[in-house]
Amino acid sequence: MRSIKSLAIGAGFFFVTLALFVQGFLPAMLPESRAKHVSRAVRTDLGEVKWVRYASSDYTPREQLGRAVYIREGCWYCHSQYVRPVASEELRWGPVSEAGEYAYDLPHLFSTRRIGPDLTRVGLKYADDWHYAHHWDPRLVVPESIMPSFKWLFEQARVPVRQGGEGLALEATPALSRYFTLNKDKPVLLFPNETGLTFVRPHPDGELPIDGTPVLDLTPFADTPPALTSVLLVVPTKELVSLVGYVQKLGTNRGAWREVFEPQNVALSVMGIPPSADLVARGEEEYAEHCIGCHGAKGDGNGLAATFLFPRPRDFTIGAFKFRSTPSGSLPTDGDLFRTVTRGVRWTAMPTWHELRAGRRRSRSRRSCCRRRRRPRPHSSPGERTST
Amino acid sequence: MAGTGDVREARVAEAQRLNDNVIDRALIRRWLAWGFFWLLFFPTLGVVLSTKFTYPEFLGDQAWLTFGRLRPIHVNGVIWGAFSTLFIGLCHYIVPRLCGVRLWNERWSHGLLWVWNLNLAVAVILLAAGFNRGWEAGEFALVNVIVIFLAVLALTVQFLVTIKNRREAPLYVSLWYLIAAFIWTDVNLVLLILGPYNIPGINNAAWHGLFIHYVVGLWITPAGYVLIYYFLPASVRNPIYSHKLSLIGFWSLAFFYPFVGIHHYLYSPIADWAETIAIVSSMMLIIPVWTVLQNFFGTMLGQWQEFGRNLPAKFLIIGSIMYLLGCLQGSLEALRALQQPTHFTDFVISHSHLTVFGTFVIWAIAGAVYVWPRITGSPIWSFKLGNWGFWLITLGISAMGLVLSAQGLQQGFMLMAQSEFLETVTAIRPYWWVRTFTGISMDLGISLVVYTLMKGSLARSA
Repeated sequence: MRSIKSLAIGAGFFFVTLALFVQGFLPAMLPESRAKHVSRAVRTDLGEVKWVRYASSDYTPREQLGRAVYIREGCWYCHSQYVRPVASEELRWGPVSEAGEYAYDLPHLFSTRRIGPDLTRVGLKYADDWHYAHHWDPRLVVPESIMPSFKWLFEQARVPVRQGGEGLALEATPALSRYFTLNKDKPVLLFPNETGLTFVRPHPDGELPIDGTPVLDLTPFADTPPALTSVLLVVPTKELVSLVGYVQKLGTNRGAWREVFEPQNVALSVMGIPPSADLVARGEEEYAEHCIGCHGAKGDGNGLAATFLFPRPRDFTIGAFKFRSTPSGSLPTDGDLFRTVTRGVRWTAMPTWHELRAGRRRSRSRRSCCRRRRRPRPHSSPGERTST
Repeated sequence: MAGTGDVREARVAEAQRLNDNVIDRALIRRWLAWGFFWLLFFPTLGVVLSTKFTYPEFLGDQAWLTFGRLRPIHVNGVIWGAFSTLFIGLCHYIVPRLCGVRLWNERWSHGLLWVWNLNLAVAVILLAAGFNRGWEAGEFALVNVIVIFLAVLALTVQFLVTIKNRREAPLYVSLWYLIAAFIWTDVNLVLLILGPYNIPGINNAAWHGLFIHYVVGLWITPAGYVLIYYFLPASVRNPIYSHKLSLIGFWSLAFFYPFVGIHHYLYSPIADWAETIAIVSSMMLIIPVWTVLQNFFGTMLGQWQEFGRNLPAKFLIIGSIMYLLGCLQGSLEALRALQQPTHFTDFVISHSHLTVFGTFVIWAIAGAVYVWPRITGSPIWSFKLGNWGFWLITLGISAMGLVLSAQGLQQGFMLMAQSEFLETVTAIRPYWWVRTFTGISMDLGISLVVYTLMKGSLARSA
């Protein structure tokens, strides 16, 4: 070839312009690609769940800030945001993605790699508390996780404690007066874990200080409280509060889809699981892999992550369970436990475990029963300990 | 016959003497020296990143050292730092020699050298500080993108005017690709400047798909062809195998490559027909890939002995083999059936390493190994050391390609079999451990090659 012009205009401009038109402008001109509506699962007045056409909602300013943090910290390098209609993804994550769900996404955050799970449907799967624990140290709640921790998204202060008249008291350090108004009339209960790590629940908009006076509460440890000389107070920053707000928004445009999410639907059953030694051993493994961070090695609800969680994780050693088909005060059936493990407990940090194979879920249900039976303990007064 | 041979030799010598007078040696040396620096720096970050898969808390206390901050530095750094800096430096050698004239404005390029490299340094700092624009492979802060755009635009003018001033009317293949690469990238950088701020929703993803594949397809690929079309015939002293294949390769690339971008987002809410066009053109890319490769392997005919003793030729040929494997993998993984298990897994990462590093960075290394002794006037210090570097790089990238492909397939099929997600991550962790060592092997190889080149020229100047 001899002509610069034919190269520059032919190769350089013509084909690229053609491609930009066919693959860029043309798809964007389709009205359905710019849809602002989604199909949303709604519970009707008659109690049934229906899919309706619904206007998807924009992000609030706080969620936008959270989205900016999500981009800045590169969450999107490991977490995708679209559910494909293949590879049974709709059974793993939830309903397949629709164009309208992305109406307010700029830039898009589809992502190309899943080093961690897809986050399209993560909103409301976990409680905010669970996310705070997870960002402080992912291995507290998911022992096998390879996600980095995001400790710089927390305000941190080590505060000495001394033995006061009514238990432990925090020393009035400058950090303490920065985090709290120290309003005497309003106690703020803090539950340190056995290492002294103490989560301070942020104000809903992430602003400091928090109204009230912090009070350490070691009652969850019952007779064996840890000997603490200081505690590490950790408060999520406004950025983290916003990030969690953004994550909780994801997928919620689709409404109450979990109500009709097949893998999560378990009818009440009186199912009994045969207590074989094999199954219990497997349950022990499952428990160590998934449950130990919150419910603790002893099953007493004192896992290292428990400081972050409110309501606190269930103490299996007491033998009191909330979700059961049996009369008040009695133990639930294995079927009840299986159901709770499968569906999770909304508005608490207990997530849904539908993704685990049923056999594994069964062995875990069986295992929490065993804990209970092996370590009987007198029932403490319910007011003292709030648990699910 | 001996007589004509002598005449030919004499004419080659005369042409070389003339051509040696048109290049600015100091300019090329400085561009390549910066290129070597980035070549040592950016790929090494990949080793740090892969270590984090095995040890999640490794270098995890500082925000700027976490995975989310370092990954864009690695990706953009390899593209715009390690590869592009070497490429631009080598263009300053190739263009004047092919045109038989000095560059139109050498002072520009001396200035652009500092603009380009300081901009990269600032871009790295800003990315580490968290200024991320959210378009993968285009994360640099806006100010850095604008500087890159202006620099590429200036280089476009520089090279086009130089080519216009050429002594011989026919344009050599390298120049076709060079003209196209610079013009395509000017267009693409405009897309990068506007893209993340305009057109919300799934269309933003479609446009991003186009952008990301224009970076690899309309910048790195033609740029790599500029290098191998020049350095392969030059180093093995054989003419290009077939002019016709060169033409087919060029025009099929120009026709099919611009359409492939959306294959990054198959099975997304983007229109099915747009996805299908992307898949078809991805498969059609086999045409340019196989024709140029046939051209390269054909050029080696009768000169295969050079593969043993000629360092640039070794790198060029290994790069071509990686290209064959990496691009076949790339075309196949665009198929919907294969995409089901492999998308979102390390299978894709295997493809991107085999092509961007295994092919194009290796071709750029080949060009640098060819040019550096010629502009510094000092032979390679130790062929043996350079050869060790070559084999460490080759073993490293081959093993990485295999490990990541296997890992991706395993995770993909586990997920399709409805394994729990975490279980699939745990299952592939051993592969990541091996991957780190393949990366160390590649880094070590690069260091040996750069050391050998530097040692040669420094020994001379001392």
